[in-house]
Parts: sequence; structure tokens; C-alpha cells
Amino acid sequence: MSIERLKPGGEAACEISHAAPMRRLNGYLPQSLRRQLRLIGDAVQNRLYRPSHLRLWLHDWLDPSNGSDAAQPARDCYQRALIDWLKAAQDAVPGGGVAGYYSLEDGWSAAYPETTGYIIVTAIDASKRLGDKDLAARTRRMADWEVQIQLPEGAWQSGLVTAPRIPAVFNTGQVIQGLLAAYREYGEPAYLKAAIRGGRWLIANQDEDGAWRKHTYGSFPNSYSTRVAWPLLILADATRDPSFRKAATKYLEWASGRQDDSGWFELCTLEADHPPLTHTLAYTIEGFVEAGVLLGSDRWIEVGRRAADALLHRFELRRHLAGAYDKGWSGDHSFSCLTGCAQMSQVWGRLFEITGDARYLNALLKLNDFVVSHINLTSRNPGIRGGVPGSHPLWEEYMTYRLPSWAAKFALDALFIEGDVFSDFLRRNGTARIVDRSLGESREHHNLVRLQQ
Amino acid sequence: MNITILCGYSNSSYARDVLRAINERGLGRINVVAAVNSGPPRTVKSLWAKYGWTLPWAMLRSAASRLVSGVTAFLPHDPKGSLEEEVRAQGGRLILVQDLNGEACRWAVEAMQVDLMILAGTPIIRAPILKVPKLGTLNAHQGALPAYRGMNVIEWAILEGASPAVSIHFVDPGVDTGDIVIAEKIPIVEGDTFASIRFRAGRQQCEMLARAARQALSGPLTRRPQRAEEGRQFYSMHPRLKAIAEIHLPA
Repeated sequence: MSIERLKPGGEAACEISHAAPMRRLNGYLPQSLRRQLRLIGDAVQNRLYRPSHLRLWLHDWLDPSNGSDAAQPARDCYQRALIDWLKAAQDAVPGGGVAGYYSLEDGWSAAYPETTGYIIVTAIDASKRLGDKDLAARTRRMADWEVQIQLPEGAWQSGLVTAPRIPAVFNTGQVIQGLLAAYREYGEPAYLKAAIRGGRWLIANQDEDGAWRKHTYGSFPNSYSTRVAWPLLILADATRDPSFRKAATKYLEWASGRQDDSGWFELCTLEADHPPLTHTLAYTIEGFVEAGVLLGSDRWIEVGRRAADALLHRFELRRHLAGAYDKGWSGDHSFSCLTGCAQMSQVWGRLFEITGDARYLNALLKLNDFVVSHINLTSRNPGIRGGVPGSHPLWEEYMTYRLPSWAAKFALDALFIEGDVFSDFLRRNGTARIVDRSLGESREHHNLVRLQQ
Repeated sequence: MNITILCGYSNSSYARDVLRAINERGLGRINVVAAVNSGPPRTVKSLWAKYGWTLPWAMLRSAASRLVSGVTAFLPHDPKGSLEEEVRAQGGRLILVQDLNGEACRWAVEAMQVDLMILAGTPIIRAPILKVPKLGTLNAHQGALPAYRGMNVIEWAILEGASPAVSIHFVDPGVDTGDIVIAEKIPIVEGDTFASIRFRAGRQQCEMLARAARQALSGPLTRRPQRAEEGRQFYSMHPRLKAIAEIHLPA
């Protein structure tokens, strides 16, 4: 799932091939040299001798300014490239699902039920925006595949489709969201039926206090399942079954109790001994904001907004969004989690839509500049062209040397929302000026009135 | 009364203009504490981190600029004069420190028994330095407080249809959150650009700082407190938003 952070290569590779002698040798080497050796090991393991891989690696290695202020092609070039990458990810695996990621080491992974779930939502949106009938047909194949692989108890499995079929709460929530989008679009009752079964399974496995403790990643309750509460609320609207709404609200209550005064969330992490990635923090924030919108409740929007504002402040001051943030918003700036960046862009875009505060739009534009600067538009390798690496730099912590499908999905969402809110903002600002002139007001007078207000 | 200006660079033209504006009001000798210019990065690693592949071009530019500055050294000086000349002319002292938040700076400010400190283009100054001057520390901010805190607030104000303004405020450990002393709007005229508005705001804030210093000499300044939670903090504006804000300027 989008919450894998296993490191292919690196230390593990050394252990397997040359275990004891390497370890002994490592003990005598200075740390900087050990690091260089590990990078060389990674390079071989991740096939950097392939020109497309080497080019991607060089981009990150040679790019001291993070590429964010370089001149960039128009956003629609990136949208098209991201869609093509998602299509390639679907074509790479049998059945209709979308591959989890493209790995420099192993190529395309198997299909990933969870991310295929929420990719359906983006793909339907993209097919309508761009009039892409091929993409529309693909979304149906994705939804059909999800129905086929549903577990007998109603849940969807954790991990890639080739992994042991263990039911997972978070993954089930994401598939429900995709199936509901497909049901809304195509009216196929099987999609709704499967989503309802999934929703009932989620309720059956929810604890009395609202948390999910069973069938969770890492076997501990987490606060990022607000992104499960959100699909449950969509399901409640689609079925008019209040039990889904009740379960979602119960979880939101529990998760909001995990937020501290600074807006940071505890239990928002994938591994108990690691600080939360921007990716999971953004899941949590997005879940609260969207749940607040669906419930018409400012309370949940405010919970999400508090954390989103804290991240915005840190991003603007450092001009960099850290890959992970520990308690007190202490950021790990050694890397960027590009998925989390795209997600936060999207969240800020939503907050701009809700509040009209242009500071969100400002941050969204900057962060999208950063994300697209890591999308390759020219490689001949369909696994590289249009994909978004898990981390910047490529060899860092999250999805090391891999381009996850969910990063492409969230980047596409972020670019779509940027297009929507920016053109809306432009329209409103252009109109405001015409109104001023038509009223014949002097600008100074107009400004005075504004100041007095 | 002992007034001291704190500035981020030893050749700060803004500090020079503030000093001149205060001198014109005959407020006695003014001392200046300035940070020593840190200069460009020196090691290959830091140069590479800063410039990347554009390093040869940056080196070429640097060599050209050194050549030009070498030649201009023989030409008549800037008619406005340097900060150092301005300080000397009015009998004050220019004290150079490595770090404006460092021990040396605190020691210098304490030793001079500063009554009023004025910030003229400094990084964020920490509480140990701020609490030394008896009357407090003043700063000029190019924005109406508390509505527009932070960066690029002239652009943000124009984008939101408000008048750009300059506020003189006392400095506290927050960012632009201290008590407001004076606030004045900056008029916008036809053909204005952000650069021309900022230039005018710069001149106006020097005047306002000098006026506030004079008032402080004759009695306690009127202070309008602002709460940290009121108003908003703004950040550097994205070029695409700047382009929209520019539309709002009168042609």
C-alpha cells in the first residue's frame, strides 16, 4: 500500500551477498566512505547502468535548487504525462488493476488493490476533463477488477495483489471510495453492492471508541484512517444508511483526540518508531477536511486546517516541505516525500476553495512547481516518463528508487485542483476590476472603504 | 537619549537613509551596530550546492563584477555616501559584529546603554538583545498591521484590494506582532509598479522612523497593542499571483 517504506537495496543487499566480510570491513571504514559504498551498491542494484534510470538518478543528484524555480512546461503536459504513466501502470499488470509502482530494481510491481481504488476516482475525473474515452473504459476495468478480488468477508486485502490475502481497514476504505465513484459514473449496482459489503466489514471491525485496532498496518491504531471515514460518509450518502455515518463520526471523534495543541497528530505514522511522513499527515488532514465538507461541519474542517496551516507555515519559511514531521513539527528535511507534497497541494487547494484565503493558493502553486520538477517528460521508459518518484532525492527514505502509482494519482489531483482554483481566482479578480471601473469609483476611495471595514 | 541602529550589512543603504532622516531632526549622535558581511560561499561543495551546473557562469559574473568594482573604486563616490561615512559625519560609532543575535552584539548594546534601538534591515532579533534598550526597539514594516504581517505585503495588500501601508511598531519576539506606533498609507499613482511603490514606501518608512524617534525623545510613544492571533502572516508571493496583483495597479 501507499504506506510501504521498505528500502530495496542498501544495507540489506550488502548483508545478503557478502554478509560477514562486508560487515567486518564496514567496521574499519569511515562513515562517509561507507555511505559512498552503499550508494554504489544501490546504483548496481537499481540498474543505474540503464540510461533512463541513470538520467532519473542524475536529475536528483545534480539538482541543487530542487528544480522548483526552473522554467517549466505548461501544466497540461504534466497532466497528460501522468495519465499516460497510469495507463502504462495498468497495462503492466494483468486483470485491470494498476501496478503499485515502478521500481528501478525490478520494473513494474504487481497490481495494488488499495491504490487502484482511489486511482479510479482520479481517472474518472481525468477522463471527463480531457474527454479521454480510453481512460473511461480503463476505469471500468479497474472497478470490475476490484469487485472480483474482494475478500469473502467483504474487505480488501493489504499490500500488492500477490501478497497473502489479509484484510486491511485502510485499503478497504480506499477501494470503497473508488467503487462509489464508479457507481456514480456508470450506475453499475455491483459496485455499490461491493462497497456496502466493504462498509459493513469496516463497521464490524471497529472498536467501541471508534478506532480500528484490528487489521491495521503495523497492528496499531492510526489517526490517518480519517481517509477511511471519508469514504464511509460517501457511502452513507449513497445508501442513506445512517450506520456508516455513525461509524465515520465515531472514528473522527477518536482521531481528533490524537491531535495536540500544535495541530500535529500522534499515531499518524506507519512504523511506531518513525515520525509521521508528510504522506500520512496529509491523509489525516484530507480526511478531516473532506469529512467536514460532507457533514457540513466546521469543526472537522478546523481540525484539518490547524494541521494544514502548521505545515504551510513551515513550508513557506523553509521553502521546503520535509519528508516527515515529528512532534512539535520538527521536520526531517533530508528528503521530500513527493506523494505527501502533492497531497498537501491538493489539501491547500481545497482549503482555498473553502476559505478563499489566497495564501493557500500561493503555497499550492509553489509546491506544485516543486512536484512537477521531478516528473520526467522525455524518457523512453514508460515506467519513468510521467511518473513521480516516492522521495526526493530518489534514494531517500520513502519508496526508495521507486515511482509509486499513488504519487502519480495525487500529483494529477493536485494539478487538476490548481487549474480549477487558479482559473476561478483569475476570473474573480478580473471581474472585480471591471466592477470598480464600471462604478466609476476612484481606487483610493475603494481602498479606503476596504480599510475602514 | 542614546539611539542605536541595528542593521544586517555594514554597507546597508537603508540604514544610511534611516540614519540621515534621524540626523535631519537633530537627535544627537547615533551609533550603528552592523553585521559583518558573510560573503559568498568559499568551498567547492558550498559553491556547487548554491550554483550547480550554473557555477561556471556564476564565476564569470563574479569575476566581471570584481573587475567593474575595481574600476569604479577610482571613480567619484556614490553621491549619497556610504553608511560608514554617514556615521562618521555625525560623530557616531559603527560597530561591526559577526552575529546580531550573538554575545558580542548584546555586549555592545549594553555597553552603549542604549535607550532606543531601531532595526534597519535585520534578521529576526532574539529576546536577549531586544530587552536591552530601555525604551524598546522600533521597526518599520511595509504593511498595515495587524492585517498584513510577513513578506511581500505590498503585493498581498494590492491583490486583496487594500491600500499598501507602512507601520512603525515596537519589536517583540513574534514576527511583526509588537505594539503599533504609527501607521500610514502609501498613495498609489498611475503608472506605479511594485518596485516604485516599494521605493516610495522605503523613503516613507525612514521618515516615519525618524519621527517616532523624535517623539520618543519628548515623551512616551503612543502604543496600540496588537494580539498575536489577530491579523495574518503572509509569505513570499508566487510569480503567477504577482502577475494577477499587478493587474490591480492603475495603468
